[in-house]
Amino acid sequence: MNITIKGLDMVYRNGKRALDSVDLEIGGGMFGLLGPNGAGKTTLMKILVTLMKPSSGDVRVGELDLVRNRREIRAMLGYLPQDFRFFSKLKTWEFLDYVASLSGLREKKKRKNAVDEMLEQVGLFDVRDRMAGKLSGGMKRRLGIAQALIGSPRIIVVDEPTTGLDPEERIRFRNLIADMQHRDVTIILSTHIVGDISSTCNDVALLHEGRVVYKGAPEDLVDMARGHSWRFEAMESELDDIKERFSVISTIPSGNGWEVDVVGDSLDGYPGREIDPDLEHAYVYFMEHRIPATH
Amino acid sequence: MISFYNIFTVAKIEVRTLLRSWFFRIFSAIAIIFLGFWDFATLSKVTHSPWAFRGISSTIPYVSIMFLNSVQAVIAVFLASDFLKRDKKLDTTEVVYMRSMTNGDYVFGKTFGILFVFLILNVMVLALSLIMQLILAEVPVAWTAYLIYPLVISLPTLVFILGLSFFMMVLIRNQAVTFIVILGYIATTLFFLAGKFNALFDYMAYNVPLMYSSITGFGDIFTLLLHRGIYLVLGMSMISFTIILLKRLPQSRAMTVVSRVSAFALLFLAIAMMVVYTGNIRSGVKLRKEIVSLGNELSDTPVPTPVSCDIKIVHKNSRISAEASLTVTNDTPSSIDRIVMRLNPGLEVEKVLSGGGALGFEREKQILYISPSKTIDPGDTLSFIVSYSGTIDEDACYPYILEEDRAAVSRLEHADMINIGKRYSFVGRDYVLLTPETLWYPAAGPGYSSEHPENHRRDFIDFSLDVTTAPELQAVSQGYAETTGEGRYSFKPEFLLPSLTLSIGNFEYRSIEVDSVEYGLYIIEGHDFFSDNFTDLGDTISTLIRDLRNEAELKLGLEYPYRRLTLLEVPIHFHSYRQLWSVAQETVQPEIVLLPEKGLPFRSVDFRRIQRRMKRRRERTNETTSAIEDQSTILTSFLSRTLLASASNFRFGQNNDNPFAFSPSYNIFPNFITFTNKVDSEEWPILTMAMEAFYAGKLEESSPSFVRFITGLSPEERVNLALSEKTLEKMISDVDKRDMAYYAIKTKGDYLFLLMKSMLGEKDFDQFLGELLQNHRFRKLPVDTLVDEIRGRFGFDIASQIKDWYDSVELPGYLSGMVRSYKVLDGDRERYQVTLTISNPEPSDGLVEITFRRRRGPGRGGFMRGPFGRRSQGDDEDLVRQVRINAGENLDLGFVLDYQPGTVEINTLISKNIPSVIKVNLPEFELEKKAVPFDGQRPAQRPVSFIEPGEIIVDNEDPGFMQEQKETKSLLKKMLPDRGVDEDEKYHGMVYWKNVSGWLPTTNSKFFGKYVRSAHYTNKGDGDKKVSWNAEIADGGFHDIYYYVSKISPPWHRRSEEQQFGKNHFLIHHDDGTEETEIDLDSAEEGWNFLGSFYISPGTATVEMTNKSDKGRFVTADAVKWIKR
Repeated sequence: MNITIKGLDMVYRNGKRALDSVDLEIGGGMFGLLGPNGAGKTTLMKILVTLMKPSSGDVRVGELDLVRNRREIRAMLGYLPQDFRFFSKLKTWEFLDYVASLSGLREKKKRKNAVDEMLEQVGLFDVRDRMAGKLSGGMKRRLGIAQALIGSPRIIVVDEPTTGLDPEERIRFRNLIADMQHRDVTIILSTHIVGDISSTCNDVALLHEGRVVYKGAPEDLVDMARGHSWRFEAMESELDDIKERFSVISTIPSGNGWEVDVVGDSLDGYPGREIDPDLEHAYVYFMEHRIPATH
Repeated sequence: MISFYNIFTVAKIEVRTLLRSWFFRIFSAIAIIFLGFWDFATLSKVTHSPWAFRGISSTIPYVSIMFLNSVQAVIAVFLASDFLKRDKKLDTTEVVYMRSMTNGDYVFGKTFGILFVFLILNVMVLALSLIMQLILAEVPVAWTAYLIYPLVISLPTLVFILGLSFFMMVLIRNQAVTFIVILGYIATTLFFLAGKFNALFDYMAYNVPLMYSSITGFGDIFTLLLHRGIYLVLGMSMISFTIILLKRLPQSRAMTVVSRVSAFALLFLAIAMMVVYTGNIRSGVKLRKEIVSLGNELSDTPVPTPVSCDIKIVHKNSRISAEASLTVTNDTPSSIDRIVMRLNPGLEVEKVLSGGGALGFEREKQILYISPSKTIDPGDTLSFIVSYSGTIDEDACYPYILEEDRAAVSRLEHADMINIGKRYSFVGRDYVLLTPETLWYPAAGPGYSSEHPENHRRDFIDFSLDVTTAPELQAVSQGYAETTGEGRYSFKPEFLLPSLTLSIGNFEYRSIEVDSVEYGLYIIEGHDFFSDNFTDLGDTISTLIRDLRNEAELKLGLEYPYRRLTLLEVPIHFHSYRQLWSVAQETVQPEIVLLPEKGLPFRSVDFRRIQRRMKRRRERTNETTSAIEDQSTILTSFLSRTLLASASNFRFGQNNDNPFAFSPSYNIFPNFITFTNKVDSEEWPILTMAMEAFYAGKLEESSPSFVRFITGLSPEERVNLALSEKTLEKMISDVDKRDMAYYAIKTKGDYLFLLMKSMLGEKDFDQFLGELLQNHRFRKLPVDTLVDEIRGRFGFDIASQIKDWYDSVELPGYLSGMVRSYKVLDGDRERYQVTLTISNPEPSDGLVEITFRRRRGPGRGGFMRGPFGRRSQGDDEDLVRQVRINAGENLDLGFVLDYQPGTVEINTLISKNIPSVIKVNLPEFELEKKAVPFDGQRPAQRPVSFIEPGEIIVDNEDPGFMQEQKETKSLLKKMLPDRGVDEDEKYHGMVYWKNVSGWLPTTNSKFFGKYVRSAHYTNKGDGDKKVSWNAEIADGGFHDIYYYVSKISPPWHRRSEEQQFGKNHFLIHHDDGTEETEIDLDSAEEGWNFLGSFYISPGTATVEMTNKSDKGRFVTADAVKWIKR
């Protein structure tokens, strides 16, 4: 399912411009939307899931217009919002059943099967009778995924899914997302954590201050950082200087000092060795060194 | 567009969420427990719940739902406003909002969910009531009521309040603010608007008549549905507005359009319904104004007198058609070329025939103008037939009643929650009630005129009535009744009657003949809840009835005039008002008493429980009485309390803010005078009413003394206050003081005849008047005949007295004192002598009535005995004497009694005295061997003095009395209307259970005062409220200062000694400074008490008193006296 976004603007009542002439073409599979906090990702997500009306611009889902064809578009959507913590007094299965009903699963028996299956899939079957509000943070996220997936939506929008999760839950979540790719769906994954999408996305877009600053394959983004990613062996006393000169990706203790991965335009005489960048290097390099140049 | 599936899904989740809310669970549990307990307490045999709650079974679901509704209306606000708050707070809402459903689906789903949960609660509460009723009730279950009440009470309330809450929430978007705004609205509608504007703003239906009669259903179903419909539709409109304003992108353009259209359409529909609702009321008001205006316009038109009226009436479905054959005589001095009759405007006149030819006629509101073929000269007679059909327009009834009285809610006594509603007539398929007020047959004259309300016609007419109705129904009316065919009845009264009443229904009839009078009871089939209670009475019933009749006849000195007395059950909605020109009300008709359905307002009708209580009491006291004795007592009590007692206008637990409030009376007294006699006087048309009042007083019981204690002034005292400002004639023409005018006529009428009685001799006058009335029954008694007969018999010209009585504003005022009581030797017998002196310093002659009440042993006294009623039933042995005291006269009065009196009451009748009854407790009687018995009256050697030479007295009535207090009322209290105290009242009652904010004037015969014995009172406190007495001292020197002590205890306290009054604290200002002193009321004697002796120079002398007191409930401030040494 192709989603075409053209000239999308969103200006809030207080005058804040959240989206500025956003043009995007989102094809099938997983689409990653990267950007720092406040870049406009959530606004774009909310517009895509019909919770918010853009100030101007067009969004087409397949042949359908996002504004005129809300009913049809809503029927093909699954959505996991950024925050997914507070529930009415419903049990886990009841909440999922409620959402399943609204997503079009009208037959009771089928719905029950779908709910059970989904609960199994996200590992919540054992806690199906527990009040949703009493689930742990990770479980709530999984329930969020389950409700987004139930009813076989053709477009799934996931906003900042791993924020606040412990590493184990994050891995579990990433696996779930990866599993989704096997379905014939479009997944739009918005995050500021590059790791969430590094291995799974076909396409990514970088959003900065409401504008799309990059759109393309993740590999192309990685290529941009090639020749600009290094690793140093540095002493404790050198760290501050390094942080000032470069964008630090990671610092790992090593022997008597630190092993530091950085990105930057040149080494400036530092004794470092070039390394193969990954998406994280690329994202940081792009945001820190390429965008300022374009401004 | 609309998906019922989505609505159901959202509703289901809402229901689940609400049912899991502890707030709702606790509320439901409390509601169920409380109402279950209430049901049980009401219906259970072990409690004393009023019959009003149990007599008609619809009251149980009515009250249950009403209780629940009052609370759920508030709870629903919270839950409704919570839903949007919850939606706003819950991030999970987004995953619901982005699903494919319309905003309408979502809002409807939420609404239905909340509604469903509340309706479940309603059903549970009703189920509980139903179970209780099935197990415990003494009357059959009213199934329809169980179905209807939640629909007309709960549903519109909930839909409206949910709609309003949703709407305000989407508008304000803050739950706390929304909650405050809506609670403010609820409080405004409940406490301020309440029943105003005909309860238009009463969304909870607290002031809407909802009583469901087992005879006729709801009183006015159209108005009820209209009222409830307004709130249902308004609620739906606001729900539609909520759909439009919901902060979620709409999904369906069609739904948006439909929501907008329906929101506005429903709003307009609600407004239209409001317009119809108020329009109906306004059109009624307009009609009555026009009726009164026509009455005024035509009041001087000569009208022929009806001699006979034969009515043939056919009742079919909800209509009547009738032919009235009338014969009228012109007994006016003028020729009449247009006959003015009146007929209910809802009845359409089809033709008027006379001598086989048609007569011209015209209708104008209530008036029917008939043009005879030739002028009717004085003394001529004309017969004609009026054919008419239709139904009764109840808006045309009682045009003389103030609109605010008409609009006032009619609640059931002892069951204040039950709002009955008012109906004046019934013309339905299964039930008909037509009383004279409805003008269901042509009556002579234009009727009520606000300019001359006293000119009320009372014609004595030879009636006959033929009724045709459905075969299963039975007709009831006056006179000898015959069934002439299936559904056909004929009635022929034996005597001339002033009016005729007809009722048709599914009646059962019981009767008994006692001394040639047939005592009958028509009750609606299935309404016999009492027969089982009197199974042992047998022939004793005859004796009981005979005794009661004899008692009434003996007291009145008149015979019961008719051949029958029928008690006719009428729907509970039937309402009547007080008439200005008569003590009779529409509830009592010639030989018929219209008893409310199941006797609901009467406690004495609760036979089964009374019997049970008697049995229990008997068991406690080991008394033995037979079943017949018990049943006799119960039946006698019911009959005498209902048919021979006067109605009280005081109701416990209510704001008795209208001292002249109307209370229906079922006293058969009008049968003795009102329907049989009329004093015919153009100059003094209210003489008939005056005479009625005099006779009614013979049957009346005194109002209990606690009533005056609580209300402050008796209606008679209020009349006295008013009569000192305007003549009786002017008072009658003041439409706004109509209630007071009734009491004025009654009080003055009673006075006039008492005056005659005192002039002409008690026994002679009673016998004379009784004979005169018996001789002029069923015909008019010209006033000239009355005057001539009195002159002939007693040689006294009463006309001048009547004129003075009618025109004068001067009132006498009495000072009484020098009361002495002792035993005297009358021959060998010890008798009880009381002497007292009464002065009337005013320039107007007067009359007082002096009553000696027996000293009662412990347990026999009691607050139910009244101080301001003249004659008390059961006080046969009390001495009552009228004494005339002319202007400026001082009389020594002596009374020699065979029994020891405990109190003497001086009833000043019409005078400046307040209280109008001066009550003096008599001490123990010591024998004075040398004293000569003195029984009678003689001029007093010196008048009763109010103040002695050299004394300076400042009473609380004087300008020298001042009060000051610190402002202690909170802002909220200031904003809210003070429901406890009417600031405009001249004197207030002492209501023990209410707090008094300032010093209020009150009266009691124990207080000091010339004519007005008053004091100011307030709650005891810490000294924050103060009063002062300020006197101008002319001569400096030492002064003895006194304070007047009176110990006021409520009538329900047996003896004042049992009460503790505490101390009064005074500050006395004198030349050497200020002296603080106190009087210990518990040890002080009543009367003047010495405060001290102080040097005071010429100028203003001041004594202050505070509300500081450690005992008692109130502090009173009366009078201070300075005497120069």
